[in-house]
Amino acid sequence: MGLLEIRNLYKVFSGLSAIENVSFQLEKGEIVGLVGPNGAGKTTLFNLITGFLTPSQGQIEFKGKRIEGLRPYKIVKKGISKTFQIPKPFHSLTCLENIVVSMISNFDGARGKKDGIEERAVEILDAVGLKGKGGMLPGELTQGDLKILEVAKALGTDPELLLLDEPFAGLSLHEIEQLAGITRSLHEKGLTLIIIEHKLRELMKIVQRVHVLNFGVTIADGTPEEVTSNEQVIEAYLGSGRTSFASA
Amino acid sequence: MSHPYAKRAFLDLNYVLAGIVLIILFCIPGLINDPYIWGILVMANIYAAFGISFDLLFGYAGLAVLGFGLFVGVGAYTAAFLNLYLGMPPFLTMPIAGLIGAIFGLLIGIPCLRLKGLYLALASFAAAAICEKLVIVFNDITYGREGLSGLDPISFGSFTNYYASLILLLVSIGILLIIVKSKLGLILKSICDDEPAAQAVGVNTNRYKLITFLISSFMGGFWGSFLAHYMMHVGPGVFGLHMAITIFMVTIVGGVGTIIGPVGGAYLLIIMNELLRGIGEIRLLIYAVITIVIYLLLPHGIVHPTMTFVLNGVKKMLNVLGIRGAEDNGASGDQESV
Amino acid sequence: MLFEILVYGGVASAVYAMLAIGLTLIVGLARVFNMAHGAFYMLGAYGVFTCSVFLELPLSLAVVVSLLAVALIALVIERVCLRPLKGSLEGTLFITLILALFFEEIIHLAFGPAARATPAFLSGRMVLGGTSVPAQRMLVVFVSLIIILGLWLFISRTKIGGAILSVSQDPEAASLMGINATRMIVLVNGIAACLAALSGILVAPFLSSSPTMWVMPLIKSFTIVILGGLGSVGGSILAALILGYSETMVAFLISPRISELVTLIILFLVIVLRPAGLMGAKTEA
Repeated sequence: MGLLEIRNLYKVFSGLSAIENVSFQLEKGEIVGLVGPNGAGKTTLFNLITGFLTPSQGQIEFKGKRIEGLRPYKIVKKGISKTFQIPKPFHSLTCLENIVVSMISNFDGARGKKDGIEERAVEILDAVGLKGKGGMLPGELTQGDLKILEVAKALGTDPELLLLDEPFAGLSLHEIEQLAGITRSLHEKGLTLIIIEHKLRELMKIVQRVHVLNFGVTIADGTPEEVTSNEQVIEAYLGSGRTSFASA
Repeated sequence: MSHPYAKRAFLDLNYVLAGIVLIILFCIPGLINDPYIWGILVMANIYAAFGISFDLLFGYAGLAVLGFGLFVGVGAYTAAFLNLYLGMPPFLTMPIAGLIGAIFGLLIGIPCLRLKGLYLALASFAAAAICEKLVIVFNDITYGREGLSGLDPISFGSFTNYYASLILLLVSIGILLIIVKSKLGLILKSICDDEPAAQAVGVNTNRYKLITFLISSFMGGFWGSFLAHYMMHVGPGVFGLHMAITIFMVTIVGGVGTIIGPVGGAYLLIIMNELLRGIGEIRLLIYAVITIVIYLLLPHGIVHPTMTFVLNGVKKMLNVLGIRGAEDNGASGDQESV
Repeated sequence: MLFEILVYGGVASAVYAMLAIGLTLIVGLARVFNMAHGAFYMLGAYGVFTCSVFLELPLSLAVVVSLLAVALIALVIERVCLRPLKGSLEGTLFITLILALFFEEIIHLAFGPAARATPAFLSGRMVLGGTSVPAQRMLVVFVSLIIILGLWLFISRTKIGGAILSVSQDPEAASLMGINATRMIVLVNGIAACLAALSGILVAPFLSSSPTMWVMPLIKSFTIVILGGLGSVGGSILAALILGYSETMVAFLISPRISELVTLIILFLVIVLRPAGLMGAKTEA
């Protein structure tokens, strides 16, 4: 029994199939990439897993229990967290407070030893490389730091499975390396990850396996080498003129 | 990062200022021997209380409850019914009014949970207007537009009225400040900033919105009944737009999202009301204009900027007098700064 | 009795439609709710009252002057209050509400709290299908129909009308095609205010004018706008008919005191149960 199991998932919006018969298994400790041309349904899949959308059909199981249709906060409590493609920090709170908010969900109600939470929040900030920036407002951060804060917020919920939605978008090469390093070390500490990305070159360096979607349908699932030499996948990308695999 | 001493000193000054204001307020009956003025301040306290309850809902949780007058009205009429038809004394009717207000808070809050700002505003407003109309229509028990008169006053003396309102206000402010500075306040702010993001980090946004509704509506109901007993009269207007608009003005002028702001706003508006009483009805126009202007120019209201201004002035003065600890950053070339 | 309901319901629906169409256009375009909309209705009525009773201008001139004055006020409001607050929906709600109170106070100061009567444009009665109906009310229906038809043609046939529609559907695409959204918003604000003022003018003769007369029309306007679907002109017309006739039927068959209650309950239920309204227009994410 894997950590996450998706069986025959469908999502239809007013007659349009955003996700069509997608099945997917994930073992604990894996780090998997989710790729596909724009509009393939990747973010929709994330939203289905995290409860922001309800499937039209199909099942999603996490650690053996069905989770499809649950409200987002309940799924977070079960151990799945996601980041948003465009960072959504809490603008009127400091970076530290941003993390504190996500940690509160791990305690009952709004009570929790104040010191315990804040110390741990500072630890998280340090671990992701935002040491010393706890007192700053999100508005004062660089784009790269905002993306890191987004990840830090998700980490505050102490997840077992972390879904990253295009973490590298809009970042410089240096910032990508930084974030990739953080991702790798999180994985080494035991976190299971699914990462949506368009920057395939950088993604393939981190992930062990890749799941490819096109028009809501799975067209490939395998190691980076297998997937990049898969004809269907190449056609999907070249056909839409998105990325060249030659350099991947 | 500022010098650790500086932070503490600044905080101290904040409290010192608040303390001074408090002492003055407590001594008013001694300083000014005019029950009429005490009466004005009681009204200021009442509206301050409305303002801070509304601020919790709007400034902290981001819930634009246009129909806030509903809770006030429900509390007022509950007190009226309990007092006039059942003979209950004020110290009983007021908490019960608060409870009834809270029940209405739930009744309105639950359906409105999934409504976005605009719809929430209009739905709550519709609910308040419905109650207002109901009260007018069923005028055999409610005496319609005339309203009910002859409620027992809070106490038989303007002196005790004044202190009752002041102490209750301070208790209310205290409760809200504790809430707002706690983790609950942080969560509310997060929901206000970005609800999906809050959900994505595990916050049960519905639960917290309801909690806010409960607290705010309890206070609205409680103080609505206080108003009823103080005025010894209730009328349907207490539900309506005019009450709600007055409360917004108090909150906006004082500062949304600050809790203390509306207190300043209430005092300012009520005192201005008295000072300008001579020029007649035009003063209502002036308030409207002032509120709009302040909202456009000073979106954070007047209380915080004023306090900061005053405190900065005091800090500079202390510095000039050589009392250290009131400067931050060590920019003044202070050798002891780390 | 049935025919009376038909006629009076039609009158109500016509007025409501004029009030609501303007508001729904503003909502569709600028995504804000102008709570001062009811105030324009009031200002229109009082404008005509002032012009014809105090200034003793001929009626048609009074109407025109009134409309222009209201349009001007609306444009000033748009420039000074609405545009700076563009991002904040709640801010706009509160500020325009305070503005409405502001206008109520001005009217109160100028004319006192008592109700005022404006002379009718058309006196006498008409006989229709066996019932005699005041001619003024039929005038309301007649004028509204013409105006609404004119507006419909304007929006669907002229270039500017098309521009308005495109901005409400997709502001970005519209601006890419060179359409100035701000100018469209200003235009729509003016049109909406004039429509509201015109409804006020038309009903002033048979509904007394008072400083608080802006509240119920405002509530009814946004009930209709929401019921009909934000931004949908056709939806507003349909919803106006529904509201107008429900109210009239309740007033005739049950009790006139309850008719406004009906509106409020409809509003609450619609918002809570089906905020997308009849036409199911897309609400913001």
